[in-house]
Amino acid sequence: MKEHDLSFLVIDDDPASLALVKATLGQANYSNVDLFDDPIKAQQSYQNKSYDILILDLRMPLLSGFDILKEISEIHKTRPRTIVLTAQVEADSADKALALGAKKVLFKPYNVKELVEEVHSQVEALASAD
Amino acid sequence: MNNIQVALGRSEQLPKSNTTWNWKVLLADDDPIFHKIGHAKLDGVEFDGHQIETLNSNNYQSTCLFLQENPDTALVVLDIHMDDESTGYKVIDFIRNDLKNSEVRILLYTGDSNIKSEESMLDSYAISGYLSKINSAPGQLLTKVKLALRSYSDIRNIKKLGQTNSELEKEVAVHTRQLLDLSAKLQSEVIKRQKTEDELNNINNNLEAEILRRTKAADDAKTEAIKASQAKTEFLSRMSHELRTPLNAILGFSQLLLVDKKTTLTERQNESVDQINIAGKHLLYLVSEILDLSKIEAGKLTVNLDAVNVIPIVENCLLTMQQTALHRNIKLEFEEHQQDLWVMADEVRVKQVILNLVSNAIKYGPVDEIIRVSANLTENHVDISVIDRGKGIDPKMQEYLYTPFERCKNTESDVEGTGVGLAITKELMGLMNGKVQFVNLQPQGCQFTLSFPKVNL
Repeated sequence: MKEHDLSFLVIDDDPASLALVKATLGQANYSNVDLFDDPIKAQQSYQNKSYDILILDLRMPLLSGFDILKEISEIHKTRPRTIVLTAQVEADSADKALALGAKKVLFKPYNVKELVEEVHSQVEALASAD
Repeated sequence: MNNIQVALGRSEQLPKSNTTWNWKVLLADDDPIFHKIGHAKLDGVEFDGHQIETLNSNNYQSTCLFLQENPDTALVVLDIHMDDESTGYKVIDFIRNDLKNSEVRILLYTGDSNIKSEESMLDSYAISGYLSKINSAPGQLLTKVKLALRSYSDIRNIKKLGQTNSELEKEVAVHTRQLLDLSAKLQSEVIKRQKTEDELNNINNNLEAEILRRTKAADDAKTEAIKASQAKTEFLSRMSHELRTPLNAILGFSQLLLVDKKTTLTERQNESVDQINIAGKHLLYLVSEILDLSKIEAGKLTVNLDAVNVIPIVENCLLTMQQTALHRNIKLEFEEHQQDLWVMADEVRVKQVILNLVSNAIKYGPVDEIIRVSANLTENHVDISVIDRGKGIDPKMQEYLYTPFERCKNTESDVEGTGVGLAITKELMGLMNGKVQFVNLQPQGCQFTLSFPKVNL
C-alpha cells in the first residue's frame, strides 16, 4: 500500500477543527480522509470500514472519544492507529485515552508541525507492522 | 392578830433542791401539850435523808396564815377542834380551795370521841390520814407522819417530773418551731432558686435557639459562598477549555499559512498572519493562566518536580520576550554564567514564572530602559532576580501583590493583563518548595526574586 493511499477517519464536533486537520493532512499529501462532525455518523462509518489512522476529539455530544476508542478496538484489532486531539489539557484525560488504545494525545491548540510529525510516525509504525 | 404564834425559827431551811432542807410539819392544835408531845416525838427525826422540823399554830387564823406563807409545808397535823368544833374542816377547805394547795398532806388528829371512822373521814375530806388522840397506839403518830411525808414526797416528785416534762416539751416546741421556721425559709429559698433556675433555663434556651439560628445562617452563607466560588472556578475551567477549540483553528490555520509552500503570501499578508499568530498565542497564554487559577482555587494545581538547569531556561525566556521588549525599546540583560545551576522544580512551570516576571517588568516598567536578570547561588537556593528601573510599587498596594484580579487596584491602567500572574507565580513557587519575594529599590526600580531549592549533582 502506498503511503498516501492510507485511509484517515477524522472525528471532531467542531467544524473548524475538522477543516484544520483536513488542511494539515492535505498539506502533507494525505487525501483519503473521511471527516465527521457528528460522532454517530462516524460510528456507522467505522463499523463498516477499516481505517488506517483515526484522528479523534474527546469531548463530543452523544458519543465521546472514549466511547469510540473502546468500541473501535473491539471491532478492529490492529487498526486504526489513533491520535487524540483534545482541549481537555488534564493529564487524566490523556492517560485514559492512552489506556483505551490511543497512540498519542496532542492538546489543542496543537502545533500543526507536531501533528504532521505524529501522523508520519504512525504511518511508519503501520508500515513496519505490515 | 396578837394570838398568832408561829414558830419560824428554822424557816430559812426550805426544801430547795440544792440545799439541805427539812420536812416542814405544822402542828395545828390549841393544846400546848400536844405541841410539846409532837415536838418531842417528831422533831429531828430523820426520814428519807432529811430531818423533820415541827412548827406550831393554835387556831384557824394562825394555821391559815402559816400555810399561806409557807407553801413548802409538807404536812399539817391538824386538830379539828380549835376555835370551835369544826375549825379543822375549815382549815382543810381553806387549804384545798382557797390556797389551792393539793400537795400539803393533812393528818387529822383529834381528841373528839364522837368522831367518825378513819375510812369515812378519808372519803369526806382530802386528807391523808386520821388519828385519834385517845385510841391511837404509841408510835402511831410517827408512822402516820412518815406515811404522809412519803405521800408528799411522791406528789412532789411526780410534779417535778411533770415540770421537767413540760420544760422538755417547751424546749421541743421551741426547737420544733425553729426547725419549722428554718424549713419554711429553706422552702422559700428552694422556690426562689427554682425560679432563678427556670429563668436561667429560659435564657439558656433562648440563647441556644439564637446560636442555632445564627449558626445556620452562617452555615447557609458559607454554603452559598462555597457554591458561588465553585461556580466561579467551574466557569473559569470551562471557559478556558472552550476557548481552546476556536484558538486551535486560529493558531493552526495561521501556522499552516506560514509553512505552506504552495501558498505564496505577500509581505504584508505574511505580517498579518504573524500578528494573528502572536495575538493567538497571547490569548492562549491568558486562557492558560485562567485555567491555572481555577486549578489553584480547586486545589488541583500540581507540579512534576525534577532536577532542572535554570540557566538555559532563563536564556530561553529572554529570547521569547525579546520581541515584546523591543517594541518598548527595552533591553533585556542577563549576565553570562559559566556554571550550570540545578534546582528541583517543574521545567514548564519554571519557564512560566520567569516569563511572568519578565513580562511584568516589560509591561509595567518604563520604556527605553534596561531590565536585568541575574542568577545567584546561595547556600541552599538558586535565586533568579528580575530588576527594572520603574517607579516601584506603592507600599500601600504591596499587600495585594499576590491577590488574584487585584492588579494593585490599577484597573484604570492601560496596561493589559488579567491580574492573576503573580498569584499563580506565588502558588507555583510554593508547590516547588521555593518562594517569590519583592523589594523596592533606591533610588528607583524594583526587584522580584524567585528562590528555588538547589540540587547538588
